[in-house]
Amino acid sequence: MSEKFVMTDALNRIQQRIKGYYAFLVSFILTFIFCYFTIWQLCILAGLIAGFFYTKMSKGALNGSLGVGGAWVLFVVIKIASSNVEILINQISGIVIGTTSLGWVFIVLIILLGFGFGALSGAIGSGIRFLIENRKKE
Amino acid sequence: MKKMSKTILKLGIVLLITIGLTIALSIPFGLFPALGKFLFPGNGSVWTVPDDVVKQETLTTDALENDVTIFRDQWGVPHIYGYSEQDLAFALGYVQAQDRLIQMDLARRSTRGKLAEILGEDALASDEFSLNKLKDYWAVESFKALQESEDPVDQIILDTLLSYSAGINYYIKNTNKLPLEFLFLGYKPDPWSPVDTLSFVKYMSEMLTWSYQDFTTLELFDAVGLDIYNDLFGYPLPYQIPVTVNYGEYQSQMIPQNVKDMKEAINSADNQGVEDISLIFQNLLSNIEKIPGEKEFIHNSQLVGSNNWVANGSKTESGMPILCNDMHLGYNLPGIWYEAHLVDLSSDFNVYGFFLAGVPYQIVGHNAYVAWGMTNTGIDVLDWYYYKGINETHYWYKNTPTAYGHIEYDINVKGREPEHFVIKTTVHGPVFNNLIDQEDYSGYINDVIACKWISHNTTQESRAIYGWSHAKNRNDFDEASKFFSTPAQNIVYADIHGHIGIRPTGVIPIRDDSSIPAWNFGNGTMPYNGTAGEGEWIGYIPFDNLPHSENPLQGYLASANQISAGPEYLANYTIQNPLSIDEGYRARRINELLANDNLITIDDMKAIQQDTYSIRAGNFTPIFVSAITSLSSKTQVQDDALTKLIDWDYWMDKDTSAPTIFVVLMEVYKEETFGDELHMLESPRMPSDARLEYYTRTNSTSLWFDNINTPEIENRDDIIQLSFVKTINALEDFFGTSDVDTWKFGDINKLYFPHLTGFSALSSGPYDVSGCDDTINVIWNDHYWFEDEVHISIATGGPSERLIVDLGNLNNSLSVIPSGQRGVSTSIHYTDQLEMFLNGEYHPQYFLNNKIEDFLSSWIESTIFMKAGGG
Repeated sequence: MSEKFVMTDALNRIQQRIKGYYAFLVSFILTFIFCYFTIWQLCILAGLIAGFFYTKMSKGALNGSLGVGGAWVLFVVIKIASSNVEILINQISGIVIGTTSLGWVFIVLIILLGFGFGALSGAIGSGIRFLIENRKKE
Repeated sequence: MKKMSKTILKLGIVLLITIGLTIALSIPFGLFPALGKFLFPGNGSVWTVPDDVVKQETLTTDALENDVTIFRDQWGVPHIYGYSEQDLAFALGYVQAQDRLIQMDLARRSTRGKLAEILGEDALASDEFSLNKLKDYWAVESFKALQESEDPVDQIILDTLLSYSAGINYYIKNTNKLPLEFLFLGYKPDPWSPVDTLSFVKYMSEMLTWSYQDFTTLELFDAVGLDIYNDLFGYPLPYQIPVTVNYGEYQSQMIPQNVKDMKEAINSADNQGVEDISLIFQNLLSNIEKIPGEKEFIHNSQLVGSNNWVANGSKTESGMPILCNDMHLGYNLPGIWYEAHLVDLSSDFNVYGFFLAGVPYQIVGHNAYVAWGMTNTGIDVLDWYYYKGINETHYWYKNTPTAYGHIEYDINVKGREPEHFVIKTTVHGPVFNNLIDQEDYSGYINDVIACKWISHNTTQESRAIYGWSHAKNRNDFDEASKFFSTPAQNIVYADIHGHIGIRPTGVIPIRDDSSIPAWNFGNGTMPYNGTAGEGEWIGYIPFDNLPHSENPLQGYLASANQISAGPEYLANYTIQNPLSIDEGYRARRINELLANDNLITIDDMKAIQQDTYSIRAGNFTPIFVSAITSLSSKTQVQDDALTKLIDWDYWMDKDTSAPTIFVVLMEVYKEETFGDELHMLESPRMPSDARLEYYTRTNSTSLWFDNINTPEIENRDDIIQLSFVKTINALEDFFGTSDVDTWKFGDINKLYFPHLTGFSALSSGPYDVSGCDDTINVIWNDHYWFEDEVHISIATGGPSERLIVDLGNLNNSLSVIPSGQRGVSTSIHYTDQLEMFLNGEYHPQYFLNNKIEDFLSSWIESTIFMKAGGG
């Protein structure tokens, strides 16, 4: 293995890692901003953009998931720390399932769904990019 | 190519899952809103629901003439300082919207028939019925009358209503945080209008005067006949102490004697002619009962009641009057009352009181000169009429075919086209059987039913309350009271000049009973034949002829929904249906406590408001004990229970067991005394406990004590012994133990505060409580005994506020509400005062701090600076 090849490989790896950071950061920041809009479905757009950084669907899914899910975690943590929202979530738990002690289940579910939507939309983004690039090659 | 196909397949699957999940989370399921919008991070989701107001807020608006400062105190009560009453109204509207927007919105929707717009078709019948009561129609007419009036006071009121609405709308327009209930129901509030506020007068009138009592009286008369009706339900009522004290003493010996022969009385209970009318009204009631909210009006045998009293300087330690009021209403979270303190820095206008959220005038409270409180009078201001219909367009009225009037609405219904709704009216008022399946009415001679209600008129109550807020003495107050039409209230009064007074106040119709049939008791207590022109309202009792008492020698006045006046007044006017008058136990206790104390303090008044001593128990129990003691043989548990009753001090304490035994024994005793006769006659009502007390104390061999189903002739003591044995057996079964000490009253006597949407997670309780429906600290208990079993009573009504006003030093005045100021379920002020209320605590009003700089920073929880100017 030549020295040049090793260097190129290392550079590629660094570029991949930086691309990963970009993908995560872009989707994370976009999702966090979208948390202050009234349309929750915008989180799908954030995941989709993260996915565009890749052509491999698994990588798009991972970055979308981390970006959207991470932003929702941060948003939830800030809200819980700065307001009485956990009381509210407990009350909602009472309304929906009849017990006010399971609000945390709702919070966990919401966050999991955030990771889920991020993964799905990230996968779609990278899938679309793969198709576009392969069509160009053809 | 293969990789491409694989990716397309994977992409398709992921897309399908994503779209499916997104759709599933974006559409509502039945009652539940779209979960994505509701739960996921985003504006307008649960994560942005408001909780407590911010510590400091500044807003600028050109709706104000001058700056306004609002301090919220430790209980969230706003103290509003401004330079005009219009500015104060704007600020009050703003803070009420901040605190109670969902309550205000649902109340106006309920009153104005607009619930279907947010709840869908399920609420349509309720809306139609609400509109049919003409509350919305007359609220609109009232606003038109106010706009057209050239009276300067009316113009001030109009300006105030407009400013108040502008304050609410400023909040609605500028907030991006709506309470949970709006998110759950998935709508945003419409702008507020003055008509919404005026509709609240109709709402209160409905709550306190809408009644089906005429039907009950008719049904009762039809079932039991005149003799039994007079004996058990009619005038005179036993042990009443009238609200007003200067119309002769009300004698309990005025009670008629027992009917001579019970069998004869029962046989004569056949009232031909009444039956046809009674049946059609029963049909109507059975249909009305299906309308949400109406069932309570039909089955509430107890009057919606309250307590108020006042002691003058001759009775108080300070030498100045002290006025107290606790209005008894059904409980909800948020509570019905909103406390506020308004100070006009450009004049001496300074008021503190209990407001309805949605109204800029306090219903009860005080200014710097006078104080007032209210209890319901139970005065009959609603009459039902039946007519012979001709066809869809005409009915008979005084031998003339008369055309119906029509009022039309288009009711918005969520998820479908608006419903066109037509209300027919007769010369008296709205027709009600157009809501109901007409087949129910075929075959009846009189097949049209309508009502006439005092609220079917333009309202001037705002003007009355405006006048009270500005009154400086009794004369000012009385002048304002002349504008108070409905709901008729016993208004207790005191001022800083030492004057005290009380007056049942309201517009009370005088009926023409000259042509009514012999069976109709008249005075609007039974339905009238509208076709024949019976029971026309030919005038109203002049204000000066309403009973009233001023500065009585006894030094105090009290009302607790008892009879309004003594025999000298009743000789001229009968203003209450006897079925609508309270049993009188609370009034007896309040009078007893005030009569026996000549150095009354604020603490004494607190103790009276929280008094759970039962006069009823004190009068029945010694007779029970005497009869039970003579039981030939007793089991150990019966002996223990008897000992509890013997040792009891008659306080309805939740931690003791004697009240448990008493309340169940009372119900069984009443059932055993009257049930045999009245159930057989299908009577819709049982007599009052006061009536039973009368027979128990004065006639131990009354025929009512005889069980007509046995060959023996039973007397009072036989029935008490039988009831006691039944009671103890049932309590042993209920508690699962013969250890009487464990039969705590609180285990069967509970209080619950439901959220106005019914969501239990936003409700509070149930709490074990002391007191019952005859104690001053009243609990609207349900039955503890039915279907031969003991049941837990979960009450949802009682004192809706407590107010104590010290006219010697208004800064000593106290108040509390059984909820909290803020209707937002996550706020610290959602139920903070509820805990205080249950613990018998009050909070100060900081009333005399009528300058901004006098309001101490240690009292301030948050501040709003409202700047006048271009917004």
